[in-house]
Amino acid sequence: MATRLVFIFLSAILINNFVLSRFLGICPFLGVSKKTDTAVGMSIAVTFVMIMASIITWLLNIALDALGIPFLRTIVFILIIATLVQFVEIFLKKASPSLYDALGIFLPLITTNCAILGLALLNVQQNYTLLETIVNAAGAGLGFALALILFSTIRERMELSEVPEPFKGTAIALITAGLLSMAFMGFQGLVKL
Amino acid sequence: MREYLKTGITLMVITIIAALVLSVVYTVVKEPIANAELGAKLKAIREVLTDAETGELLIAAENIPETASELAEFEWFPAGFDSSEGIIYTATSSQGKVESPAYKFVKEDGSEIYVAIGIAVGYGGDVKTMAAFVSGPNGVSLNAIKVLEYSQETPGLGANIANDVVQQRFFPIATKGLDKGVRVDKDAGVTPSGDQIEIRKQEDGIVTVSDVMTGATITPRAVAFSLNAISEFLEKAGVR
Amino acid sequence: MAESKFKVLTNGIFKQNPIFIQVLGMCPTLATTTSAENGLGMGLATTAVLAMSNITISLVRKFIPDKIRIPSYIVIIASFVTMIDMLMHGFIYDLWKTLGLFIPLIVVNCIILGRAEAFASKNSVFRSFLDGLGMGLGFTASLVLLGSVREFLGNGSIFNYHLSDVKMFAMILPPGAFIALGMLAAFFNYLGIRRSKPKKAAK
Repeated sequence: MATRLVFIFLSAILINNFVLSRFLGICPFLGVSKKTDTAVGMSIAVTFVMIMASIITWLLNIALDALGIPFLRTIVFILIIATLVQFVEIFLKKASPSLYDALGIFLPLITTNCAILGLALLNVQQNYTLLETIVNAAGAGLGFALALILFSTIRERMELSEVPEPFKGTAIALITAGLLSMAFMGFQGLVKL
Repeated sequence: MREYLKTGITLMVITIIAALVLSVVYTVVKEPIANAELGAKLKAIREVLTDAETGELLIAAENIPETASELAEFEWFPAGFDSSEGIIYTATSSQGKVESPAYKFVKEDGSEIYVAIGIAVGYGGDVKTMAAFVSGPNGVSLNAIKVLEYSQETPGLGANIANDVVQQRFFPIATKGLDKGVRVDKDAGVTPSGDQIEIRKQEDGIVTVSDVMTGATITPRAVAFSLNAISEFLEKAGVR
Repeated sequence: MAESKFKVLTNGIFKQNPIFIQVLGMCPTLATTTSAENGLGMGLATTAVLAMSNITISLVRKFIPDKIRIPSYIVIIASFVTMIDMLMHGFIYDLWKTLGLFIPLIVVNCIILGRAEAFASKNSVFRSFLDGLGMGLGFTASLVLLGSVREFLGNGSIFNYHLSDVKMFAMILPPGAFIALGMLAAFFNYLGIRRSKPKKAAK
């Protein structure tokens, strides 16, 4: 049981990293990774929403199935996520106005972060228990954080290098992400079930 | 207060309308969905009932099921197995389960073909493999497989199990190989090449996939587990 | 409106291409372009949702209070996505299976919410439809382009037509997606720079 949880956790962070292998959460990945401080702040917010959203959607999914309306899953899930993000926004505005300003438009955009909805749907699809769901969510958040923070440190250094004109901005960021993704592929055989 | 009430009600109205529209679409689409799923299963059954070497159907073409009721006629419930949960058997010697129901077809010469769907955990979720086992003079051998469910595997890596080229590496396997237990080459610790690929498969049950599925072992391993689970199931059912 | 209806349509294909210019909708772009066919399927599904949600949001734009416009848009978009998901499940089973998780994820494709907010909430129904269609087509074209590149380099084929025997496996894998998209982005940037250079020289 414990090994399975460890596997799920490690898988979400390293082996099947949500950003670099599953392609979830790319928009904030490219958009918020210019400075490491905002990257850290964003990661914490996203991880929190991921864990809370996973728990609530998991519980709601049982109700949806019991009521025989599985097709309402997407709508219900995304509404939960949108509500959670609203709460995080309100909380952050009071608790840390500087971070709130720094994150700017990207804070409400956490709602459209495919990683959160993707995570919620995956938990359901793979029939995870509640505990497995929480572990998966924690791993996903950490994986997102890892990818985001690593990427932002690289991008900060790239600001100081001579990038050819056509590559400036998104292009070089994408290529760098590709190299990062390649590096993470090295974790493929890490855990054997 | 009135503001909040108004916004809350508007949102609720929109959601209710959306839910109603979706309910209508759902009732309309329910049948096509069931048909599509059934169609995929029937297609797979047709494929695994095709002789791996000659390419001909193992049973007469008109007997191949084409509707759910026709398929139901071939359902096979061997004594002593409980198929209530949708799983008819859970393997003990490896990790894998066999989905219920299993099917039994009879060839013209009287020998039996057992078709079952094995389930094992792959990279990101369940991998379901349908396999046809043919009983012959030496015992039961594997004729063909079709991987049905692999949607959680990594695209480009484990998901390559969808390629026919990869799946064909898994069959046919003679009784001798099945007895030894199906394993992927990485797990067996060997790397057969050329003629050895076929020989090691028939003799030792070693399936070589590392050259066509680079970097992905967990997914083909899940297929191997599924096959072993069905093999064990057939043994417990007394037909192997 | 100053913009002609035609311009509204082509806006989304070139000038404001969602992927290469606006850098939106990245997740499905990278994930579903393992082949040209998958890219096309995903693009068309997204276009359908875009067009329908733009029309609907434009229709009801006067009735939605400003405070809850984002959640309302989300519910409308999610409904259409669920509809497309169910329809594909029933009628285009193989493609549905291939696209898998990314069909429901069309909901969070920033392009759709972005256009709802930026265009459909402020324009007439027909123009919103054109905008949705244009953005969707631009998105689809970019997906097909990226999918073709990845499929050609990684599998030697385009739309399953076998063309070459070069198979750079890495292109189908995640790193290949990032790098291919990066190179394409650089290429389009380069074209943009070249087009503006003569103008600069003329000044």
